[in-house]
Amino acid sequence: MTMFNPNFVRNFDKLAKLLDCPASTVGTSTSNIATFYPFQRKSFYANGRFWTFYSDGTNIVYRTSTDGITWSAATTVRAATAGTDFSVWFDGTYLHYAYASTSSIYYRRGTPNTDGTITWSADEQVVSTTTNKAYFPFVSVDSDGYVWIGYTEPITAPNDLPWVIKSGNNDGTWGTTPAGFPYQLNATYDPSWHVSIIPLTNGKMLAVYAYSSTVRVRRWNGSSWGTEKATTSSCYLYSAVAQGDDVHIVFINATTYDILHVIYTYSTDSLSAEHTVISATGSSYPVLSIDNNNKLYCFWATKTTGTPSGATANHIYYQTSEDGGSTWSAMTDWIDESTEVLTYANRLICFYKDYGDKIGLMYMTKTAYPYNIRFDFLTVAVPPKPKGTIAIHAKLLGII
Amino acid sequence: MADVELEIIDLSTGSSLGKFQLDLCIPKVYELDIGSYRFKATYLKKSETLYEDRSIVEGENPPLTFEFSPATYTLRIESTPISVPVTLNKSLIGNTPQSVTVQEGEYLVEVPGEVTA
Repeated sequence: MTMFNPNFVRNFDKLAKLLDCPASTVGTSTSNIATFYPFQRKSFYANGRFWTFYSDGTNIVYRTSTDGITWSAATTVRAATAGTDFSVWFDGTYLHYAYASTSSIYYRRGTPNTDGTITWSADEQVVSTTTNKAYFPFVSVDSDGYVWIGYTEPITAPNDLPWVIKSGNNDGTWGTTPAGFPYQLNATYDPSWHVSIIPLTNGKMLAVYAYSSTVRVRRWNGSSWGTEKATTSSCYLYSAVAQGDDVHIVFINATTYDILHVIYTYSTDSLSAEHTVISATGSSYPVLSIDNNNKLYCFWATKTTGTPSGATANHIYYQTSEDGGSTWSAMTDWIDESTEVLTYANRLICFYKDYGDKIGLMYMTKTAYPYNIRFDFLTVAVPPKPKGTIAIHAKLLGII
Repeated sequence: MADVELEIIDLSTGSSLGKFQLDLCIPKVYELDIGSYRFKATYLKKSETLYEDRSIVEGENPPLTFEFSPATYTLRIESTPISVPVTLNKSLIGNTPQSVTVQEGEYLVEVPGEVTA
């Protein structure tokens, strides 16, 4: 018998090692925090296009690209003078944004179309919070389609607290906020809480929140909150992704500037020991993504040659882990921005996960107005699909 | 030229994986991603097409057999003089002229060498 593989040609294209392409300029901004904060998300890939959202200094705008190099004209979404004031989430069908700037939260859902337009599901929704002075929003969606937003808000200004709020509807309208929300995650007043809310399976969520102390986590089991857990080291800023019900977190140690990784394990409701991704990085805030093979990608940058050791100023690096974050690859020197020069080493923001075998990274260049919004992406290896064989036999009736 | 043309269609996308040649009585093994497929086999001599939907699971799957009706032909036997007995594969089928329907193959047709009135 002869063995044929009709998928050979198709799969050959996907036997992709990491492919590289040049970084491109998406657009410009008058704000030097157009892509900030790294714990938020502002870009994804859907329906054959890369979608990038940033503040041009006046508004949230988005641009799309089919190749990651040539970008559409900017389309205005709403007013926002800084990237810190909004985040975007793509749930596989809909994009969601949340905006807040010492205000109520403004939320909207839309469908990213193949032609680069967005079909909005409803008008922008106004979400009331305790004092309607929310900021630093992080939006995500649970497995049942309900919207969750983490944010910071003062009860008695200027003493800020970390909060999370959940929608009552899952159709693009907010509805009535369920009882128990908004939920205050921690009672410590600090002006630099950064809250993200990471979707797990079956309606579960993990709140990850930090200020210039330890990283805290608290799980939602679908009906109630668990107790708070904290890392050993203190951090500046972090970035988190889920792997099933577990959550990987990378953050920069506030004392040593090491980039560290911990994993939250849902089944034991605990944080792991801290793993060093790379030592003594300087001031880069790492950003984290995960591909469909559960390979972790940690991106960081430096403005100082030799910090960390072996790195060159104004280059962007990444490291990967294929064992759940316990060990990390050597740094890959990915993007050289020594010509335009990075605005800061900590303006990176990446895809939450691999969409369409692609992981994108946004960042900023130039040290004076107008700043460039830059983008590059990795094409990640596709895990081999399981296969089956079938023998096919043709014969004539009555003839063996 | 092969006897049978086999087309495999991925039911999750509706796209064809291509058309493949298949000879009668010679099985071929195909390796496919797991999923659901439509197997469309056309017996070229008759343009007869048979369909079968199968889910392919990881590993080895049960064989799939397409059984086509054989192509048939009309065999007409005439003689001068007429009305002589004729046998097909040693079996009497009647007197000439005679028409019989047969499948593709080799047959022994016999009539007497001499006849008497």
